[in-house]
Amino acid sequence: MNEWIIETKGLTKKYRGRSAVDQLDLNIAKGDIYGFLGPNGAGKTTTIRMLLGLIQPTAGSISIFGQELNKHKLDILRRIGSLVEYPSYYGHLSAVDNLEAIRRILSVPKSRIDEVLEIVSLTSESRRPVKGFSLGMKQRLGIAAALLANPELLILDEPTNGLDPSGIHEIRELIKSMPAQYGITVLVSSHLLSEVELMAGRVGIIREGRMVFQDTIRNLKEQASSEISLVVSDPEAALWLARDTGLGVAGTVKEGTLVFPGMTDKNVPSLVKRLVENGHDIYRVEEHRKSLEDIFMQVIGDGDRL
Amino acid sequence: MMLRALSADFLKIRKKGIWLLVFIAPIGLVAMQALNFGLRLDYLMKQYADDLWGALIENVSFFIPIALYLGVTLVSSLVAGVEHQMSSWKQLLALPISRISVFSAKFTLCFLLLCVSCLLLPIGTALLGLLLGFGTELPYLDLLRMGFASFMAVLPMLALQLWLSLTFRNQSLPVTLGVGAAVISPFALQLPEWFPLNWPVYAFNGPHAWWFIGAGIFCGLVIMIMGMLHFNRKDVD
Repeated sequence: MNEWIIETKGLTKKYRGRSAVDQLDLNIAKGDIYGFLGPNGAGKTTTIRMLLGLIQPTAGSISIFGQELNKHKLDILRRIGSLVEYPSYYGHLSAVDNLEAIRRILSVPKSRIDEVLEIVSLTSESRRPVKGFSLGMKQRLGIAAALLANPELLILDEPTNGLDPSGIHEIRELIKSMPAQYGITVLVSSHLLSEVELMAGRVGIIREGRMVFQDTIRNLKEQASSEISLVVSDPEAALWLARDTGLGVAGTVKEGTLVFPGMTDKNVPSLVKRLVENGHDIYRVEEHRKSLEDIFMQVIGDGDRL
Repeated sequence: MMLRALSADFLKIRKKGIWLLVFIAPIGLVAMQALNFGLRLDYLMKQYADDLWGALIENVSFFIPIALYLGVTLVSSLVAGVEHQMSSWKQLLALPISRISVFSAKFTLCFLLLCVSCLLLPIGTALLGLLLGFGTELPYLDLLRMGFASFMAVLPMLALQLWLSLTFRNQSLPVTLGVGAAVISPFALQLPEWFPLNWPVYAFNGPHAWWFIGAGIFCGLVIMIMGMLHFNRKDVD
């Protein structure tokens, strides 16, 4: 059903016997924003470097746009724009000259430079040497460079690392606009779920080089178990009544509050109705949902950790 | 492909002091001889009366090997430094260009820059000779040989230095090696003429200079190809 833009099978990279990336199967759909998550040192950057042909995988295969990377590397790279970790730039040159140095290799029309500067709103600063730029501006210049060749796929490694909140917001809005405005598929890595949550459709979470979760953000959220808590006039009696309803809900009383973990939507009104009919006063009905951050911590925290 | 990378490289080395180095080096060598001849012109005119031009060229050429070793080292290190400085390798090599082209462009860039120096040196020497009144019968061939024969013999060193400079982010190894070669080279003349550090000397004024020129070009190519193959496979951090 889905056309994968990036598909890796059993992708592995070993450094001196230690696996930095281990048997990774990555699937990224066309037109999606894919959030690639994991704590620092989990192997995100290593994976991205392999996707760009900067380092050779120890084992496994990479196919991008349906072509094998090691056979059609230049054809594939022509359609990708990338920004790997902290920005690369030539500090002594102006923003325009930095882009010109790349443009000469890509041989795209000169007008493209003004266009991409416009997209990242650097037009007014384009003549200044880049070494005087703020980190946010350098990062935007990096994105401009990535966009220069009109790519179909944008690979951004930690694009918001080290930026202040307004810089993060700017970059995020920029990334969000890519699929809609330009039809670009985006792979964006981060160690912060909260950041990716606001823009990504699908996420892959890796830990110690292994993929531990790969699905939509929505499904990740559904993994979050919720619980319904009720504050009632007589909790003990209400609990007995709830067990008696035949709804099959198991609850407990915690600090004078009735707590029902994993209750379905249908059961909530039935239980409330039953309690009211039996003369209980209900002060509050609340849902407590685990935050995505909690799930993320749970996913990346599983297993042995030092 | 390679030409596109080369044109980008020419843009990148602006304002980096590389061009300054390229111009200063030959001017410096000529200035040294201007001082030498200027201070004791009468004495030297008498001593070298039968071949004034030849004497001037010989005096300049005495410093060429050292200058070449230093030049090769500094130019490759500066050219590589442009990419190392802000770790631009990951950006450059993720572009749709083969690594072979990137490496060839860097080598060509260094070669062309050094050619400029090697062309300026005979021009400067000729001007000095004319200024000192050595006559207008310029020994064009000898002047050109002075500029380029030793340079050809130092190509293996250029290939090696560029390879090392591009490979290691820390430039202390290649620079130490290059400066070391420059300092040792005058003493290496004690050793047989086939010793590689002696090639630049014998390529200019040996009995069979062409051997050393040929060996320089050949070995330079071999080392360049080795460096290129390694660069093509290596992982980029």
